[in-house]
Formats: sequence, C-alpha cells, structure tokens
Amino acid sequence: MHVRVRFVGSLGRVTRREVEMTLPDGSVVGDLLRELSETYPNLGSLDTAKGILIVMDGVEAGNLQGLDTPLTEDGEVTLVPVAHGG
Amino acid sequence: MTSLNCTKCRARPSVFYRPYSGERLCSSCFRTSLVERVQLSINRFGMLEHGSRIAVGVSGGKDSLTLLHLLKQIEDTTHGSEIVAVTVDEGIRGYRDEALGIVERACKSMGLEWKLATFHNMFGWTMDELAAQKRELGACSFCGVLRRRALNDIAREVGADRLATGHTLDDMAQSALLNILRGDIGKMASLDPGGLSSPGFVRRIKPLCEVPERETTFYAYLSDFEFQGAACSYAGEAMRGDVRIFLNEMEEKHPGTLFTTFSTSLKLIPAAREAGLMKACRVCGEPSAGELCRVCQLLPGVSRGEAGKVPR
Repeated sequence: MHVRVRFVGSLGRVTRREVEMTLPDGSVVGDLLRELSETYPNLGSLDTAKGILIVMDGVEAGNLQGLDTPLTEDGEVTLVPVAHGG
Repeated sequence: MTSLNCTKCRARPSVFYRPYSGERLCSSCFRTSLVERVQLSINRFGMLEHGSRIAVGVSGGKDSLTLLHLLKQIEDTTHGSEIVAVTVDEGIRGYRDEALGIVERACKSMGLEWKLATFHNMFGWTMDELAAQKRELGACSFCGVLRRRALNDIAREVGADRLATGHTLDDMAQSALLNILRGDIGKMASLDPGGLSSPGFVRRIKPLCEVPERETTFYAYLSDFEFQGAACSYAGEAMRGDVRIFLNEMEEKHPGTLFTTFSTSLKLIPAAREAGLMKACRVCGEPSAGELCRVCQLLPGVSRGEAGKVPR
C-alpha cells in the first residue's frame, strides 16, 4: 500500500516536506507513524499527546478511527504540529 | 474513506471531531463555530467596547494568525473596532526572522496596519545575547517578561486601548497549573481573559481563551496559513513543556480536562486580585506588582540606559 505524507511547519524542517511511504496492505495510521519514526529518527516519537494533528485526505483522523484508521491506497496524510508557535 | 455527516448542518460530511462535546463538524460549520466561540468569549468576559482600537500581538505562529483572522471577521461585521497588528522581534536568529516575513505577508493580504518593535531597540539586548549571559533563570523567563513589556509599550505607542494575544485554552490551562505548581496563586489574576484596567497598562484580552489549540491548528490548516518551520531554540528550557504533555495526555484520556482546569482558574481570580494590587516601579515607573518591576529585576540598569549596551 502506497501513501503520500506531507509534513507541515517545523516537521518539514526535520525531514523533507513530502515523502512517499509503502506499507503492507491493511496498515493503519498508527503503523504509518511508527514507520515514519523509524525511517526518519529526527522526527522523534510522533505522539498525538505531544502535539501532532493528523489529517487524512482533508479529514482529521480523530473524526475517523484515530490511530486505528485504515490507510487508503494513494491517500494523502498530512501531519501538522499543534504544540508549536503562538 | 467516508465520515459521518456534520452534526450542525447535517448536510455535509464532517472533517473534525470534538471529543469534549461529541460534535462532528464540516469545514464550513467548524469555521463558523470558531467565530461564534470567540464572539461569545468576547461578550462573556466583556473584552471590547464599540470603537475599541485593538493591538493584536502577532508572532507569526498559527495561534496568533488565527486570532488575527477571526478578529478581523468579527470586527468587520460587529463591533466596528480598529485592528492593528503588533509584533515583537526578540532577536532569536533563525526563528523570529522567518516569522516576520509570515506576519508581514498576512497583514498585507488582510489590509491591516502592522507595527514592529525589537528587544534590541527597546532594551539594548537581543534574546540571543541575553541567553549567552551567565544566568540562573531559563531563557523563557527573560523572554516572557521582556515580551510582555515590549507588547505593552508598542500597544500604547499605536494608541490601542486593548492588547489581544493569541493565548488558547491550552495556554490558559497550562498557566493555571503552572501557577499552582510554583505556588504563585497571586499570578492567577493575570489569567482573567477580559484583562484588567490598570494605570500604565493597555488592557490585555485573550479572545481564544476557550478555543483548544488543536482547533486553532485545524483552522490554520483549513485556511492554508503559512506555518513557521523553525522552532525556538530556547523552548526546551521551559517547565511549561512538561505541563503541556501532562495536560494533553489527560485531555486524551478525559476529554474536557482543559476546560475544567480553565474554569477552576477563573474561580481563583477574585482572591488573587485582592492579593496583588499594581503600583509603579521605583526605577522606571512602569506598572509593577512589587517595588521593582520584573524588567528592572532582570536587566538592572537597562531602563536607565546603564547596561553598557544600546540605551532605550
């Protein structure tokens, strides 16, 4: 399964602004975050409690199934830092 | 991927979920709900009068840009107040310089007046220079005190009778808990979102006090605001970061925790206010809780131009 990940704001500073990821079929958002943290260690732990807003094709992940939301083929996942800048 | 329909309009698919209220909102109802929430806070805490001149502190971050955007919409259609954006450049290389470009472009696109002040011109020090000094306090303690003074000065300079800052519900709850953890109950008075009228102070208002930071972030995302890429190099020093993580975890497990913490702090304000009446600093004459204001405590001599740097 192939998804496009867009990093907004400070997250784009620690890696590229956009990356393509391939994960096993049936993967969920939580799997993607773990894979991203392993592939790009500079991102650190992508923990929602530490302030990451996850938007899947324009829909905030909390409005779906949160970290258990299934990824969609060729979907776009945007990660936006919450705890950054007033 | 399908989502349930918006719980307000019931017509469009929802894009955002509020765990604390159970609402699922489409992008249009989400935006409208934030405008209404801010309008309600303004009324509830008596923040504005007709014809107020509001200096809006804009750092270039998503919260202050969201505040500017929402206030502009509200004031264009209701109070008829004037808005002027004000920014303080602390002198943090690689951080604030990026933000200044973002603020300038945002103000230009909204047709707003913009005024910039710098630590260097006001105090004779940049934040980078201060951070390099031998010091007991964290950099954020210096920065916060000087930024508050700078914002007050610049708001006075532009003739504002209100100074609006982008403090969100998260900031309010964090500050309340920090005050308790530090045993500084007297400081609770400054958490009044409607601000205090005090000689020498431009009244500070916090119109986003009931808007969670997740929502200012989603608003900024929907509005396609430019997000600042650089993080402040001194941010890791603050105790606030630990409190933020704790409250975020609590909010995830127990939705509504941020609102409850904020409401509790409001109940403590009257007692805190009695404890701390403002007077004039004996050195610089600016408003102060004690004999000496925090700026003169931190930068002795600067207000008198004796710091060996560029005097004000």
